[in-house]
Amino acid sequence: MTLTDPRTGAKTDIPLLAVRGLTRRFGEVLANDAVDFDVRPGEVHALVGENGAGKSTLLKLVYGVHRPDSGDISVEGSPVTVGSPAQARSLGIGMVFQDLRLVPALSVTENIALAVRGVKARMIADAAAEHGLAVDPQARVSHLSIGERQRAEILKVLMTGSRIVILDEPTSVLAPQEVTALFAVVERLRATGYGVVIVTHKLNEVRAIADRVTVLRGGRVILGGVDPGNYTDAELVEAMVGRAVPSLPSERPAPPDGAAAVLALRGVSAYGESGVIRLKDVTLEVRPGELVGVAGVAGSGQRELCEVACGLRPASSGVVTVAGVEVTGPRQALAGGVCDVPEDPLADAVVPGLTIVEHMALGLPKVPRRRANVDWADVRRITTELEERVGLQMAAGHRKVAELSGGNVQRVMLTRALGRGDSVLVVAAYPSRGLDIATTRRTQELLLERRAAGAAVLVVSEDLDELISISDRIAVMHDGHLAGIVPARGADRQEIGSLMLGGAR
Amino acid sequence: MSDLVVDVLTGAVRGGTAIMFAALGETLAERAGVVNLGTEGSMLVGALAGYAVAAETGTPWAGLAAGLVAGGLLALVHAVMVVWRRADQFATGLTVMFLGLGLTSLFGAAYVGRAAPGFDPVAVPLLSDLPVLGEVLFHHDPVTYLSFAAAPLMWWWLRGTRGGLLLRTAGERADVLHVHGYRPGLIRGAAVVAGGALAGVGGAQLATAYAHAWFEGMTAGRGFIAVALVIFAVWRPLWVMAGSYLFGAALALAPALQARGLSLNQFALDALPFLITLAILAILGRRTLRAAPEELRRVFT
Ligand SMILES: Nc1ncnc2c1ncn2[C@@H]1O[C@H](COP(=O)(O)OP(=O)(O)O)[C@@H](O)[C@H]1O
Ligand SMILES: [Mg+2]
Repeated sequence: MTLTDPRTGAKTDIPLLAVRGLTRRFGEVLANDAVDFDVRPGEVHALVGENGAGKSTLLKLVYGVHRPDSGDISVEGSPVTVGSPAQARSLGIGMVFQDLRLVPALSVTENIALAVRGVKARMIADAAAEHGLAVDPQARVSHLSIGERQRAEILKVLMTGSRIVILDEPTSVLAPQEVTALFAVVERLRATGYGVVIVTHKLNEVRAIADRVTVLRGGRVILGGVDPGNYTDAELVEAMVGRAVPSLPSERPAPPDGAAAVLALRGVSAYGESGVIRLKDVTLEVRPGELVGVAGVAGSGQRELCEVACGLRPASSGVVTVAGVEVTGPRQALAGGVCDVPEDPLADAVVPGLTIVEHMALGLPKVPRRRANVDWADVRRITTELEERVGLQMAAGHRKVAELSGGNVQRVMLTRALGRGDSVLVVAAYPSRGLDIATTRRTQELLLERRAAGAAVLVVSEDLDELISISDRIAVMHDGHLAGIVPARGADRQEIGSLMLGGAR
Repeated sequence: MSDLVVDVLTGAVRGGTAIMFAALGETLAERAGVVNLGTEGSMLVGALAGYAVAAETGTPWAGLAAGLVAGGLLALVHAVMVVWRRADQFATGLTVMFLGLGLTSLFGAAYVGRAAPGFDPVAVPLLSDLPVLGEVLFHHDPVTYLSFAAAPLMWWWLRGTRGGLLLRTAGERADVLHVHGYRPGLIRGAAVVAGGALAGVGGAQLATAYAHAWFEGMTAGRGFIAVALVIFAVWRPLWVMAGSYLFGAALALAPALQARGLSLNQFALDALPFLITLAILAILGRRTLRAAPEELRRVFT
């Protein structure tokens, strides 16, 4: 296989991987409907679409996790059937799943040895250097950051001899700096003749890295392998969502001046999960009708800040008040009208075995009863009502949360927290994590609605664009300290970035 | 006084060996993600098979091999039930234990009180002349000498070999094995059977080298101590070895004291190993569970 024709310098036209008319049903759902898709050597092909568009399904068909109902797959021009992931790997197809598949208790070397017989730490270090992937082969995976785990997984895929590297939503779990590092690796793969397929929701990522883009919606190809340069953002979004998505109103009434703060932290410090101080002497006020965004490198104390505000974590020093009442536990916070969108719902806030409706009942300030029993009919009615008001389309109410994807769990959390019309303080950690464009927009609208209704809103996000577009002020955290607070209007990203990294203002 | 210490230490090795084999077997099963409460049963069938075959053939080594096979076969029942039938591990394990108890009292009656050739202590030349250590470590039966190598071997095998890697992965994230074209069920099943075989060896050692007798229920809870031991040894073979000797010491304390005319309450002394287990589990608390293989934690919670 040649990367480029030595005479003309043009890229060869035989795709590394091509699929034609791929169709796959799951019961009633037509997850892929006659999908055509290909990747050439030395290109990055972005696959975009909303949640449930069928992106992961397409990749799993190619990787032999599922079998297509009909359609053909060919590798370097010859037709193949892919019966299992092992077979896909032998054909040179490698996949990095959305939920990384490394074994946390094993070292990087041991994980790779599961896929590549007889591999030694030395060989891994060499391959890592060759591809510009910084990973310590001896490190235990559980000690690695998400970004490092992802690099280890990519390395594993490369070491199995894959020429086609498939990345399913690799950036959805990464901090901005890590995205930059990932893209550097992808650039290098492209330059050395690999074919890379990358799934994402974000247009700026498509523009940053992709040579071509395919848009899926409802299992069908809307735009097939086009040059993103020929399309505007609005056109691409419309292709993904199926309708135009208006941008957020940029003019908003300023928060009322002089009102007493709803959330007030005075010199608050708190311990983190591991028993070290993670929040250091933070003083912050959020007034009614104000939305304060919190920026910072992951793990700079954002989580502890939210938990302290919700009474879920005691302050080791300092005072937290909500509407003038000191918060000493979740009860006071709830009574004060705080509602909370947790950072990691799967770990912190959901009971996997319970259904959506049961979760709604747990979150209600007063559970409807009929004599001694919970009035489930009433809970279902309230759930439907909330869902209509909030407009985030949850999965069916009888589904167990354990069966839902991350984005769908997030919708449940958001519906529960934002459906309550009476809260005076909303604390939302990474509200749009894992959500697609339309849902992200709706979530932002909801947060702004709560703000307009006079609630104080605190939002943590790793997406600076999001923070700048919805916040009144942005609080930047660094290593547990409040490094600075800047007005969101006309905020300077460079300034925020250097505050995040601990630089002086 | 130092005599007492030497006696207790020697007894620790003598009495701890059977527990160590069983606990190493349980370590294999649990590292692969399966709790086998049937270990006590595997020890029992191993003890009877070992004693009976030694009696019939006249060679204790044949008995040891029979113990290995019998322990493995009983564990195969557990493996089939929990790995392929996905039955509840705790319920199945206990049932398998009672199956072992029942089988051995049925077939063992004929061997109660019957003599059989067993393993006798062999002093290791030179080493046995060392002060204290010689007495404690090098005046034992051949199976005990084998056991000295067992824990380090298992440690090395789990850590350094491909088989060990696959087994550990089965206990941490079985799905991953699947993705790489392995069959996690097979790996787990094999680990459970191998673990049962080790427990069987422990049982055979108990009957043919320690007690030189067979009687009903002779393992007296050693299989359960082994299960607890694996947990507080945080699934590490070398800690399992140390823990086994701790129990051996607890078992040896009573006779050592009695031999010196100190009579303590017999029941209190019999309860000592279990009290030690409880105390250690209470001290460690949740810490142990955090070190547990992931798939195993799923079984516990
Ligand atoms: N294993 C499965 N069983 C049933 N339905 C599935 C399965 N996998 C995907 N689906 C459904 O197929 C559709 C496409 O899903 P998916 O390919 O995961 O979307 P995307 O990755 O674009 O978010 C969704 O409606 C989803 O619910
Ligand atoms: Mg997906």
